Amino acid sequence: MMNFLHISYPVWKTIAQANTFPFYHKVDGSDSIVAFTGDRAMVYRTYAIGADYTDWAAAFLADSAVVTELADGQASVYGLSSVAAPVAKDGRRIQIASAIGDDQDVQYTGAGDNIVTGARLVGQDFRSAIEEISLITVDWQFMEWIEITGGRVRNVGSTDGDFYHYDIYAPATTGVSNPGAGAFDKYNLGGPNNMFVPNPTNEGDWDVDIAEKHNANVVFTKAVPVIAKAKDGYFDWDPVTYALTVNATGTGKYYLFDFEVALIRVINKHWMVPGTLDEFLAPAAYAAKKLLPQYIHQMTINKSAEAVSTYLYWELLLGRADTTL
Amino acid sequence: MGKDISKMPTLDAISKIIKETGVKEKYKEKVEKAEKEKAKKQD
Repeated sequence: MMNFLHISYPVWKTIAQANTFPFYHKVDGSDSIVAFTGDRAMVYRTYAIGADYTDWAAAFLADSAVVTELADGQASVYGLSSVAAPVAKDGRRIQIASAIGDDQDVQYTGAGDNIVTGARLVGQDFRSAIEEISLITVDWQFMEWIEITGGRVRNVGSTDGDFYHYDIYAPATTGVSNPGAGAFDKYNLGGPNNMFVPNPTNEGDWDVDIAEKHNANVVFTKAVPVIAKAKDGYFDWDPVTYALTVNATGTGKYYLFDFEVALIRVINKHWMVPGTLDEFLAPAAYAAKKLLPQYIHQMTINKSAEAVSTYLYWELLLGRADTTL
Repeated sequence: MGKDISKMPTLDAISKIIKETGVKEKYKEKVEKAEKEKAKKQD
């Protein structure tokens, strides 16, 4: 594991100074503009440093004086986040098992994939702005299964009471009525909600095309496998071929439903610090779950007061098989 | 506007309903019935 300190903090510069910096994040001690206020711009200075932390310390001490000076009146709350390699009392590095499998590469991404055109990495951007008291949502998907192991969130212009959620849900699977000759039955789970279960004699009332792709540009199916935690599902799904198959013994890892299912609330009511904050969502050493490409990711941003616009930017640290266009 | 996820059933709630409604048992009955009928036809 690489020994590193990744630190990011805001400094205020004049617009003229800020305009000389590129509008994106760099991990080399250069800056990126994230907000403007009056004749000042907030600039994030980020470092990823190896064993020698002294240059970071000196840089931070020098810049912090500027932050303190401008905090009176127009500067927002400033944030300080870091992900440091853990070290034991005797100074030895603690090794943390990677949550990402050997068949996955790591990627920080600020956008989803375009599943309509099949263009990876250039789908919905992970950014949003909200001006009035309301909530807005941003949805995205990926073209392959992914694992989420961490991320980064930046909020700018927030007021007290603003917050966001990050959810993942499974869309419904659509069946076609075929009374008495279908490959599947619908088992009612209450109200309008039903589960597709294979009919052992093909005398069911419903058909589901479990081989049909979502569209010609992607590998995943239109039918949406939903994780069966108790392994009592009637379908299996192959993470290599993305094929969905019937499990006639009822010991499959996936279900099919004709309704939408809330799968995971990745972030619940994360309160935004008033002003500006840059936060890392620390990579957790846990066995990340496979999130299928059929699943829809949704960020919901709630604004509580009308003042200036609240901006939210986020990046996800993913494990995925294909990190290129 | 996205979906109101708070109105969707959760995986845990569905697992409970699947057990309560006896999906497994109903499926088992159908499979056994189908096997019996198959055996009957073969006789």
